[in-house]
Amino acid sequence: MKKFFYYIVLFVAIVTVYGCTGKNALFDELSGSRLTVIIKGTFESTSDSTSVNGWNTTVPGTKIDDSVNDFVTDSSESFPTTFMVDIAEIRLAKPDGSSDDKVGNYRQVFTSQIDDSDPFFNGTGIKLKCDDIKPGKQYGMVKLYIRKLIFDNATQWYIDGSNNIVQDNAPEVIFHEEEVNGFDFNQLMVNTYYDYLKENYQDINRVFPLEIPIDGGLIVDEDEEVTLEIRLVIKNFIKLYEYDFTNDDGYGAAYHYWAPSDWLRDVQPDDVFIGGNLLGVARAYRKNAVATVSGNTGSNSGYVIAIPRYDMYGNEQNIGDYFLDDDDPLNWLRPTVYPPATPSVKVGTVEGYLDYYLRYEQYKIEYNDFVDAVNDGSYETNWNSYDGYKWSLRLPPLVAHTGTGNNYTLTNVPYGEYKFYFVADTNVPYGTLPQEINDVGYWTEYSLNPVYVSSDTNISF
Amino acid sequence: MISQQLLVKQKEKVIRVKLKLSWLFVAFTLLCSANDVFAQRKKADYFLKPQTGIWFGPVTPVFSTADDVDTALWGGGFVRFNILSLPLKIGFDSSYEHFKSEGVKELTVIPVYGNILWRLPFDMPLAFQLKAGAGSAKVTIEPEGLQQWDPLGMLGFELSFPAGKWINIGLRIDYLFIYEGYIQGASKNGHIINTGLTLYLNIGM
Repeated sequence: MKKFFYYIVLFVAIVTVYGCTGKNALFDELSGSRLTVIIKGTFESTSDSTSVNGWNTTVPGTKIDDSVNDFVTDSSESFPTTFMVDIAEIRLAKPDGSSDDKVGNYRQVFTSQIDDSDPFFNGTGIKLKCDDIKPGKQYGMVKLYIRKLIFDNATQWYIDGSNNIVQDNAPEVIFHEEEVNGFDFNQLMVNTYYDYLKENYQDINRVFPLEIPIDGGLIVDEDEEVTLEIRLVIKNFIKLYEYDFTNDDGYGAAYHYWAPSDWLRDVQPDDVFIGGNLLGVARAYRKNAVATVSGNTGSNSGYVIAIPRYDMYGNEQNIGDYFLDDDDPLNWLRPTVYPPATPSVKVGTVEGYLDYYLRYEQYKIEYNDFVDAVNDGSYETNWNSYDGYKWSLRLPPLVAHTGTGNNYTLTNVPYGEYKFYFVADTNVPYGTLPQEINDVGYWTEYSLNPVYVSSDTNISF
Repeated sequence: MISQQLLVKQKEKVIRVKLKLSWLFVAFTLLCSANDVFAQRKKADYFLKPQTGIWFGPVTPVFSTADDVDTALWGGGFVRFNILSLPLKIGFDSSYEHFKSEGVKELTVIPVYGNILWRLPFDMPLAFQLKAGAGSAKVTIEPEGLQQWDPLGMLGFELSFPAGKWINIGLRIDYLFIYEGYIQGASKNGHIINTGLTLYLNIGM
């Protein structure tokens, strides 16, 4: 027995000594993360995005969408001052959206002032909590599970018995377990208009998750620190919309709420869903392998755009892979065939009922035309073509806006080959993005494209 | 006349109940004393024999480890031998513990260690044992996929009672400390508390 005792003691000693051969701090590794996720509300990728002027003040007309038709009262609308975000979780997936990993399975809530002083809008970005990702895995998509997106300064209107437009109490919504003034437009982003035409529209959800491509993909090796920058186009892209409904007293009523511009997918009067207009792009960079590109754009202010020469599969690309053609009548404009909106009684008066019956006759005629379009197949073809074209939009990974003296600075440019382009401000009105591929003179290419960036570089147009 | 007969019957009934109660008391006393004798003997017996066993129960990351992964249900096994006739046993213990998190983090720990167990000198059918041990743990973390052996120390407490000649049933609480402080750049160690139901098999009875 004594001998046996010695054997066990010897075994324990050997096992313990063997255990002391580890070289990695695994428990530190477990709790730390090589991945830093930041989220910005800007089209620009630069760390200083404060040079766009007048984006957060009310300008009647350009900031009110043409779908606001029933309750036009510009006098009482004011631009939102607060943007509220409630994210349920973040996942990273392969480029086709499969095999996702729950890298940020945490509810994250933040509120931003709609101002250049706020990190969400000035280029600094807001850091989101996340875990680690798998080394060696090719990621290509961020899945952002968005619970709520709220702008304040929404208004409520109704038409009273005397056909007067009357302002009602400001809409309220629950944000982070508290009631706030505002409207959660995320609930209307769930479907695109085309989704809503489909029978299975209730199975489609465009914001839970919102699928954001990672331009150029993301792969980490062990011991690498990587930053993932997610950008949602909010800044300089906010418009007023109208949500029609019948209120508890039976009057025709509407909410006026603020949401991202319908530049990509037009929202028309009486539309409910505005989905597909929450545009995003993500990119990854290593802090120790980035450079700053700066320069001057000559006499015009505007956007400097850089795209990688090769995509993540090694194919050469140019600006045509990012920009769309808004002159393409088949693909750009919303097809004119769709089921007409069912009319409703807006006001419970004789005039209101007469108006309703008139609209109902018009509805019948429109519906007959719609049936013809369905039968000859043009309905499906046109909408599929339109929808596919819109989903093909890619936002450029690197964008800067010129500041004082038309100088620009592109920060955190990963080493590599790029092609640089410039689009003047005059071509990018409020609520649009620089995207027009075919118009002559719309964009200017840098004469020495492509450029290999391996250190701080000057590129002037 | 009728009331007298009833009275007699009632008296007889009372006597019968008293008798039953007396027998019940005697039987109960015998049972208790017999049980006590039996338990005493078993307690003395099984502790001096080698034992093997398995346990199963919640494994809980604590302190800093609790920030990263969540509690899970796992178990392990052990063998134990006596050291002469002292109230000491020496044991060898291993288990498999896989912890998941709400996200992508996962931790797998396979502790392999020896320990020494001391039975507290309480004269009861229940055996209380304190234990301390050392060894190593194979630690694997995801999503990094890194793994290595780390030194481990442990402290624990067990209580068990006999459930027949061959089997003891017990509860255990172990604290496992996985040491990484000696590694350059490490600021954290692993902390796990294992609690479980234990089934002991008394060998050589």
